[in-house]
Amino acid sequence: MYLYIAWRQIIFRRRQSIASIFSIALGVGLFIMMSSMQQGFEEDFTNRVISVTPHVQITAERVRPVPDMGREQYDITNVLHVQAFDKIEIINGAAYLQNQLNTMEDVVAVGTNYTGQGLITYGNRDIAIVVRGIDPEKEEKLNGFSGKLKLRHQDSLNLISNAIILGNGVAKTLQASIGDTVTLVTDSGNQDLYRVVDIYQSGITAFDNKTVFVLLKNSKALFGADGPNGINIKIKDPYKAEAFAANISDMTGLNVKNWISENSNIRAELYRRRWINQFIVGTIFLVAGFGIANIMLMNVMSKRRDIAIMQAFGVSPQSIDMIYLIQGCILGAFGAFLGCLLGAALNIGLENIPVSFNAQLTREGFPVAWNSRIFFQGYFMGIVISIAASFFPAKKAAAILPAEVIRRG
Amino acid sequence: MDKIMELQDVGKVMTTGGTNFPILSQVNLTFYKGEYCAIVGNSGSGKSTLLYLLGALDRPTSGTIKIDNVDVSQMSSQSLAKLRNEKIGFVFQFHYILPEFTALENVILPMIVAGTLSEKKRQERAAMLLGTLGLSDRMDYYPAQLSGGQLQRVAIARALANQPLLVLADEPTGNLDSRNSELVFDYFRKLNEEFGQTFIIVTHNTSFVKDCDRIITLADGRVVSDAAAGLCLRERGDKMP
Ligand SMILES: Nc1ncnc2c1ncn2[C@@H]1O[C@H](COP(=O)(O)OP(=O)(O)OP(=O)(O)O)[C@@H](O)[C@H]1O
Ligand SMILES: [Mg+2]
Repeated sequence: MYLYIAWRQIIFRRRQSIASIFSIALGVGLFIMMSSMQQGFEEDFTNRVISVTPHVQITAERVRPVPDMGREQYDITNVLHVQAFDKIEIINGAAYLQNQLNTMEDVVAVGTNYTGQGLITYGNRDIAIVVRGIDPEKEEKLNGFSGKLKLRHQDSLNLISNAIILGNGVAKTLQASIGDTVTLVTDSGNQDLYRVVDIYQSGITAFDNKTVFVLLKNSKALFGADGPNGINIKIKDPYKAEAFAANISDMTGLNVKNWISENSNIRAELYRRRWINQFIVGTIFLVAGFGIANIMLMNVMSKRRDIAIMQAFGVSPQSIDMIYLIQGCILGAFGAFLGCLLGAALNIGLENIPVSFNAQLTREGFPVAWNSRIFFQGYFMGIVISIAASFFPAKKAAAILPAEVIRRG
Repeated sequence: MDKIMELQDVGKVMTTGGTNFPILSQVNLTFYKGEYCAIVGNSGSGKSTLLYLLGALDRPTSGTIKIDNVDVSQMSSQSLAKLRNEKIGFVFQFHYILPEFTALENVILPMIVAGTLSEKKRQERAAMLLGTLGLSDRMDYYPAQLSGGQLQRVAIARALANQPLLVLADEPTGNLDSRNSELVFDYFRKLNEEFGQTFIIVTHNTSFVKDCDRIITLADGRVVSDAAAGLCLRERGDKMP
């Protein structure tokens, strides 16, 4: 009965109903869009960061003496300490540590590297860069290295001796391209010639502007190092990187970095943006809610006579209350459904708008996360807001005294 | 005769802006099944107020009202609604037909609220009522497509939907022309004579009042006379200008 009367009233007042439905739809649609965009940003940022920053990175820097526990656990005293060798710091016993890490359950991939500062020259141009000596096969497992290469050859560093991959920005500044020969010079004066075999682009400009890749053995030779000065680790759940890193640091006494702490300032910014978004969305919902409440209230006021006669033929005030709450519910359900479609349309639109946010992050189209949870949340909130908005008008309708209304005609 | 309604020392006081207005006082009335009764009196004498009390649409401020031997003064608004639905049929000067529903649906609504008949039975009964009121070809029309007289007949059909113990009408022909008024009163009389349907009708229509079995006259919120038709009219006639 409630549903029957509520439904008839909704379709009879087509214009007001459509207005209510649209305001809910707008609220839900914008909520979905903003949440999807926010989550998209976060995921996109995380993916990019993770693609260039290892989840966990063991450095050659000693922060504590090797703890007893670590000693027992790794059995060998000379494995885990850093050796000063002509001021070149390396992780001694890295191979052993690598094996140990590979047996750990949380670990997906492990790769060693030697990274050092240097200068790259081509023609009469030179720039300071970071030379990363890597094992391409391990790097592939760690972060899908070849996916960020222009030619996408997984093994290009192994094709010729003294092969080098330039970061996109480095190549641009040098005006060097694939096939050109460049010179690497270290701080200590060592230098060598390298042939450019590919161009690397992660999308993080700061990284692409000052990084070049060579084979681990080349960089070790170039810098005169005996072993690697970094071990990169990919773990199953990147969000557990902090705890994992702390654990490894406890065991080895080395400075172990993790991507979360390394990027805490940007993450804080993302969180701030999330709160701002939520505030904006809350405001939109509030406005939509008041709009519906207002439409409903006007409707109740103009239907005083109808409500009075319904009471006269036996509809109780409680039922009147129910009829209006159900109207809110129906409008909310339709509005929220439409809002989901609107949200999906807005998301698709966003994905296809070309934009650049800042020098750090560039891409075509906004990053948008398609998450069914966001849609459910939006739908649910749409219905809740619209029921809440009909609460007061429904009470008002139920409080109508039929004798008063009918006496006045 | 079956007693269907009893009012004892009923009074109604309304409060507006802190001031009390006594509208009805010391009303003692008893109604029996099958009565065909008119309530008359000057404008503002409290006729409508009394009628709403009789139909449990409003509560008295003093005294007790028993409908079908049940004291309604202390009942919850929910129970009162149920009682109105089952036992009372209202017809007002204005038709109050709901614009969202067809004529037929408007008549069906009180039956849906009652929830006793099957959908098919409800349809049949509503169609029958509209048919006897001469609206069989207008049943699926929306209120906007019907004339004032037709709408008032729909309202009468709706009042009769749940076979009420008592039909209460407040100037039911106030908005109708004389031909339509006659039609309505003839129909009421027919229902009363053939089926023993009880009617209490507030009206100014003298030809109708003449036809009534009992006439209750109000003045300043008090019952000043309660008598059989002939006697009452004579008394009134004396006073009329
Ligand atoms: N809320 C109110 N506050 C004060 N007085 C009221 C209120 N409502 C109605 N009255 C008064 O109650 C009296 C009775 O009103 P009622 O509507 O019952 O009269 P009536 O006999 O039906 O008149 P009419 O023939 O004009 O319809 C009137 O004098 C009116 O002014
Ligand atoms: Mg009146």
